[in-house]
Amino acid sequence: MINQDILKIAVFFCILTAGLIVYFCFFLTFRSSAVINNQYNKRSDNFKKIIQRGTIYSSDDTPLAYTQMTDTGEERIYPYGNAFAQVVGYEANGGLGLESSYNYYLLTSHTNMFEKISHEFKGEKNPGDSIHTTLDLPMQLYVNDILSGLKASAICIDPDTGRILVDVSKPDFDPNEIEEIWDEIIEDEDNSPLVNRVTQGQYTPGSTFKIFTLLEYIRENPDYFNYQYDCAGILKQDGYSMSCNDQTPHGQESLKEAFAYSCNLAFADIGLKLDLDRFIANNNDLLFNQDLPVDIAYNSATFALKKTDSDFMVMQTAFGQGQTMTSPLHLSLVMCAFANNGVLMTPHFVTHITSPSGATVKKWKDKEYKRLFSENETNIMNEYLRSVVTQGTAYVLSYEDYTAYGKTGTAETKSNKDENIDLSFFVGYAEKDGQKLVVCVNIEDTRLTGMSAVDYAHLIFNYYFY
Amino acid sequence: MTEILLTGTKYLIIVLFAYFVYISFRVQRDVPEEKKKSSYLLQRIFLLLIHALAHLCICINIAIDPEIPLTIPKVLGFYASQLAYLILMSCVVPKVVALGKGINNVLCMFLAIGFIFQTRLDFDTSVRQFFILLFGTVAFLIFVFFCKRAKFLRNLTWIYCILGMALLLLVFVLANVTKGAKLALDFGFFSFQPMEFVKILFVMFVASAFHKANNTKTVIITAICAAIHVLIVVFCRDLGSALILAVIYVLMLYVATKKKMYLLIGTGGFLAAAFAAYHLFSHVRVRVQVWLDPWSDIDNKGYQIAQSLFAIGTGGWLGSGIFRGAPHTIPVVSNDMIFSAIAEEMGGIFAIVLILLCLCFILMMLRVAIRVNNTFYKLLAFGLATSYAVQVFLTIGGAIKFIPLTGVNLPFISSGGSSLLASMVFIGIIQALYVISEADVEREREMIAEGADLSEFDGFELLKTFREEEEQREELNEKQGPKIRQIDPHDF
Repeated sequence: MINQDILKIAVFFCILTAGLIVYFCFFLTFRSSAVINNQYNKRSDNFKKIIQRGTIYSSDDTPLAYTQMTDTGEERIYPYGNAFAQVVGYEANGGLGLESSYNYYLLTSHTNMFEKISHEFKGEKNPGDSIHTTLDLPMQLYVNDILSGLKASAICIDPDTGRILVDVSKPDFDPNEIEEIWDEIIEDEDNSPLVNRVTQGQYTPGSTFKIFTLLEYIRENPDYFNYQYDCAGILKQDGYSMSCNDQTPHGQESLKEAFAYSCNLAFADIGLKLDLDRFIANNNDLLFNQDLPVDIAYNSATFALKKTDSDFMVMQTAFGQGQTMTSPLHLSLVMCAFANNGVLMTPHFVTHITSPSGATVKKWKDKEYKRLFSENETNIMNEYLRSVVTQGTAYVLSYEDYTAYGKTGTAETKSNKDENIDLSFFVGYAEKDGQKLVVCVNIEDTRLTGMSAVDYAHLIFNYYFY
Repeated sequence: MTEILLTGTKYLIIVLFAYFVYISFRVQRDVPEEKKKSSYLLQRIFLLLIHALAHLCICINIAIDPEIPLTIPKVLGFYASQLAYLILMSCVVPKVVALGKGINNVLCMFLAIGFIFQTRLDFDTSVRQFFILLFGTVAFLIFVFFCKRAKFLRNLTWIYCILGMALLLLVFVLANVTKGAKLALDFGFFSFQPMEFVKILFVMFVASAFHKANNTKTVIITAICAAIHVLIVVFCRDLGSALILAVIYVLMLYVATKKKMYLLIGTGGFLAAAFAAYHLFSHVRVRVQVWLDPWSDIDNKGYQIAQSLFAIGTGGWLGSGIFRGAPHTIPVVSNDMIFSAIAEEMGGIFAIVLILLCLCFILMMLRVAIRVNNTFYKLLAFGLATSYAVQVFLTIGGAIKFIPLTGVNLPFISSGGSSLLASMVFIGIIQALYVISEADVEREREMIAEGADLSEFDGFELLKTFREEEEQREELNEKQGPKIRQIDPHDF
């Protein structure tokens, strides 16, 4: 009978509705708290009315940002001002840095029920939860000091845990005065002080990219150690010309020497020997063109080489020019894996969240993100990265007590005013007595200083290990 | 103090609404109308109370928050007009026109919730919506009045079909692309979305086709016409509506023919179409990817659903309170995403109760379909109920990420003039069918009282007898003059 069919459909609609309701309840009960803790959720204004923003602590529990009640209302204080400008960021004007990423945690209160009621009766706000960062206060201040006045950035990561100890980006600004100086700094395109150059900077990698080319060559050629190249300093061919630094010929060299001396022509030659499909695929595995596992705003590194590109483009790309773009964060993540037997630990800025009474509300364990290299590859690469220090361009690091590895790089770029400027990079790590530190320093315009990136890295290593 | 008042009012609204929905389910029981009178009264009181309390909250918020761009006199003036309308619609209209009071009260509740949230989201839109509702109500009354008298409606099969297709073609040729789909005809000072009316025409087409003849030929012809409808809509890229039409057709086909095979074919066809659409259309792939993982492209494609989930999640079970959430962060909140705004500000409990009220409304319509005797009316009521049910499922399911977003709205609550107008016509037809169904049930009772053994009849046999009898009666009535409505004296 027709009515029975209608009844069946009615039951079907009831089941659908039940499905909706069950899913809705499931979402509200189990999913919603994780979902709404998102910097894209702009409902913080409503929380601000009832919660006093929590504190951001350094790794030694010194406040880096806290809220103080004043006569006129609340004030957000950044006691170290410019030193943590981009990484801790600011709360006002849309937020930046950790203030923005962890907005929700800072505006969530895990105060106990009785205190909440008592606050409500007194007409006071509930204190928000606090976040505890991995940032090393004295070291951040030191790096901030040595880089001040430059256009530069530096990041230090403990490769065994993924904890980010230092994140300095220059030029900077004083977050305490963000609202007063806002109009001025957003128009300052020359300096872009709001950009965290460590994570958001996009740079031509220069010779640091040879790490990737070398790795690919080793992966593709089991007899890589037999490689020989005779460098004439300058290569003219089919109407284009390429040269090594200052056009000084390196002469006959092995693969290790080519890497240590950072010989452009040898790497251009290697580039032509690579299987581009594999190269592209492997670089995507090495976090090019990928999301980076970090809890702060960043720009992805891009590796744009295509199989159809000209030989010239392949050669340029192989030694670090071309269209490749990287950030200090990206380079240091790759270095972290070299320093940790090929495994990249998830980089992070925050270890745990505490309620106003000090109880831990949420904890982020140090965890493995991904294996980037096999142990064999790591051993070989470390040998090469070490040779850069013992006999190559990072020789300044060879006299120290710690064992340093790394790669320098210089890239020729154009400034906003179309002047040729040299961009200096160093990415590497050092170890001593089981302690390790990955450092990536980038100097945007070396004309402002007589020192290159490796010299600053040298200072940072010395500070850390002595 | 104001905060306590606001919170208290919010909880009171939730409780009243839950009780309203409970009563709405209860009034569908098979008991004489007289016994339901007090329930109807209670429904009306709750309805007006909820409407008043919500406006109290709105006014308090305007008073304490200078950032809200509204003034109390403006809101109160508009409130008074709405109140007048709701009293007229829920108390006066049922006394003048014969209609189902349960359905009418639920309709008024939807309209009241719609107004509360449209006022909160955008006052000017809400006022415009109100004027459209006045037109819609006139259309509603016309349909209630004439539908049940116009016997010729069941014979206009091809007019419905051709009119529907013509409207769709007009959209396909003339409409500009908005939100990635061709939806509206722009007449300068207003735009018109024919899709809302096409759904009704389509249901009428299928219902009348199966009313005329229930054989394989009809199945084939209607299937072809339905496919043409659906394809045009697909080419307009309005996949939500295409899905609604397809589901309406398959379910109506099943009910009309009683063949489970069609359900299987329909499901298979749906899966095949979904698979094809996924591979053919990039926007379908985007919808599906965003449904699976809105977070990786939260800036762009995942933005809307992510914001919707933020709204619902942040609102929690009890809601932030009216004007205390941030529903404007959700794109097209007043339309496709109205459910999220309601969930955020009134809370998850209120939202669940609202889903139940929608279910109640669906069941009320299906009850009409079951009780009415004529095949055309039966299929018409069933098709319209299905159309509403699918639409509710797609909107709410989309907003809570239960299914991919399809961009359909919540009838009577979402903003949108064409939608409201079409929904009022839709409910006008349902009310007319309700009156007919009551007459049919009454007649059935009489027949039983007269000693007819109904157990021997089944399905269409029974209907055929009824139909013949009905037509005889009609002829008789026409001769005798206007003594058409013999039943339901308490409706007056």
